[in-house]
Amino acid sequence: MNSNQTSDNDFKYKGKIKDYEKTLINFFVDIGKTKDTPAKVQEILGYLIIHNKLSQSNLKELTGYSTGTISTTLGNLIELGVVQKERITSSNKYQYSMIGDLPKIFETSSEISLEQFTLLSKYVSDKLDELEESKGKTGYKNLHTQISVLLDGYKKVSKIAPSMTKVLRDK
Amino acid sequence: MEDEKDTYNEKVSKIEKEIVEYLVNSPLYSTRNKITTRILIYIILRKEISQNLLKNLTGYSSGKISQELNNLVDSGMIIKKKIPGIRKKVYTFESVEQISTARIKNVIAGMVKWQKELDKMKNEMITKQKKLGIMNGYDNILKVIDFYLPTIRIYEKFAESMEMK
Repeated sequence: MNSNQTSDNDFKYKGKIKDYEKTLINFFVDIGKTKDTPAKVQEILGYLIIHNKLSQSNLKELTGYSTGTISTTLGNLIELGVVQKERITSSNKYQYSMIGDLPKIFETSSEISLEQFTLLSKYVSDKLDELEESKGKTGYKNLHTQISVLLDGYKKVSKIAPSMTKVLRDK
Repeated sequence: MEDEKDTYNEKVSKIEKEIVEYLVNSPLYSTRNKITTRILIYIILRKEISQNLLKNLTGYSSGKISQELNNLVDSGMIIKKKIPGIRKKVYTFESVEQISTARIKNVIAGMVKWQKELDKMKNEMITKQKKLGIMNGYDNILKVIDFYLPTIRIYEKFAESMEMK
């Protein structure tokens, strides 16, 4: 077996350890509710946080979700920059893992990514320019004002990110 | 419920819709419930909006919108406001920062709820280390608890400092 490969049953915990695992998954699902994150996303993230590396079929067995659900969710998490995939050596299968250490994972899954705020702000600013063509039309004034409110808000919220991350790193 | 037509110019409305859809589908919000996110962004972009107009703009049922709005009000992210003189209610918000702060506080409060349970689990694992320590997954579970327990305590303090600001 290769060093980056887990044995077929390594991901299956037993007895009391399985109970603890289930409690941790309930914890992840519960905190997900407070940030509108669907249970399936939190379950998949939770299992990856606990196990470090898992394949899609491992996740299917652990969560009971369909291959399609797992594949789509993992795709979103990869796009978000939270999860990465790597090919299992001498195999055509992939395994998935969280990117970075636990503080980094906590930061990205807390939706305080500076990079993402910058991208969103850029798109919304471009739309503000596009809106100028409709100057004087009904709704223009309100939308113009509110886009500015949104952009200003993103600027202020993105300042919270470094302070939250610093608190974690300093602990 | 009476239907409320949107008075916005078609082009303005189109730009607004494009912004809403871009944000809803952006990676930053991809792990969130799309219905809640869509409603929240419309509230931000309109400043204040009625349940009827939200129904018209999003296509969701009155029941669904009502449930989502109630949840958002309960979580402290938005405010329900009565228009004086008429029997109309609108939904508004204080500021974008307030929405984010309320979200962060809710997440932290949700984590704090688990502190006791995680503490109990850790103590049990350490007490029974001789028996459980040899089992597959013991170290992994303990590592996760060892990260989250102090994190919860630190974030509890962080939430308190946000309260003071």
